[in-house]
Amino acid sequence: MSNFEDVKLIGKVLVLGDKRSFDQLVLRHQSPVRRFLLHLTNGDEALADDLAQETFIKAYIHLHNFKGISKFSTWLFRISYNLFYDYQRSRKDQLNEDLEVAGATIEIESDNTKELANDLELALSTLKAEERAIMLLFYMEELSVDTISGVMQLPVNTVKSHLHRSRNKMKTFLTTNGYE
Amino acid sequence: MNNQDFEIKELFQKYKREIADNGFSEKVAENIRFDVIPLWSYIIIAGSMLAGIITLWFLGFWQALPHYITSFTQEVHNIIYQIPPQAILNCYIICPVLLFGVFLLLFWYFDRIRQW
Repeated sequence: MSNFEDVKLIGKVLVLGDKRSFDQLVLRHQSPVRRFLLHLTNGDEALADDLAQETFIKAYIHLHNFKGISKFSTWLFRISYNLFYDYQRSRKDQLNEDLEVAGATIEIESDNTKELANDLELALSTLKAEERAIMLLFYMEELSVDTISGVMQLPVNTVKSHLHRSRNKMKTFLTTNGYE
Repeated sequence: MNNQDFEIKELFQKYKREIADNGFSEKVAENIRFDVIPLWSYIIIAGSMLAGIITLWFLGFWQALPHYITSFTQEVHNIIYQIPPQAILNCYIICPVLLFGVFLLLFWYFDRIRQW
């Protein structure tokens, strides 16, 4: 996905007030943002889509704050993670039951989760939300540790240690579930 | 990246899928539209228009319109060289200001709508 094309579209939105260009930006970036949030929310499609919508609305309102130092996609990941974090904090008690560490014996209840019930979802369920986000950004979205540190506003060493710990947790889970 | 890391990465990549738009971008566009023009702005616009129309009605603007057109220069002279009566002030200053304000708000409103 060309960063130059993103910058061109952002320029059109900011200078000409061209909303169609923002539509183009949404079309270009909706998939990775929604995918990230979908895995982060353990397969809750409705919640992931709501958060993704909020992400793009917030991006539109604060587009003038985008300095272009990082990629637009990185900026979107940062907004979406912050929104997820705020949501999680506001519904901490409920989410503690739904999203926090459930161990390898996690039980899948909702229809959405059933659809996405696969090895990856189960392995991710063994991680805390923060660890899950780091693993998704590193292995699925293929961001560097430095970029993840910017997205999650954590020191690089903290990201590295989270990555190491999460990797070990996943390895343990996968080994006990038939992976070599 | 060692072998186990590679396996983990493979697992992530295996389940990496592109999500089809399926109307998502349209929903975002709709929400942005209502977010950019929030309810309070509609209330202010409608309130200003209503206040302007009521004020004009009570000031008898429409009755004063022919007089306003024909004796404009004379009244400008009066305003400059003597203290004008309240009625003249109403017709020549307050009414145009209100009208201008209403049209400005309307222009702003339609301009925002036009962009979508």
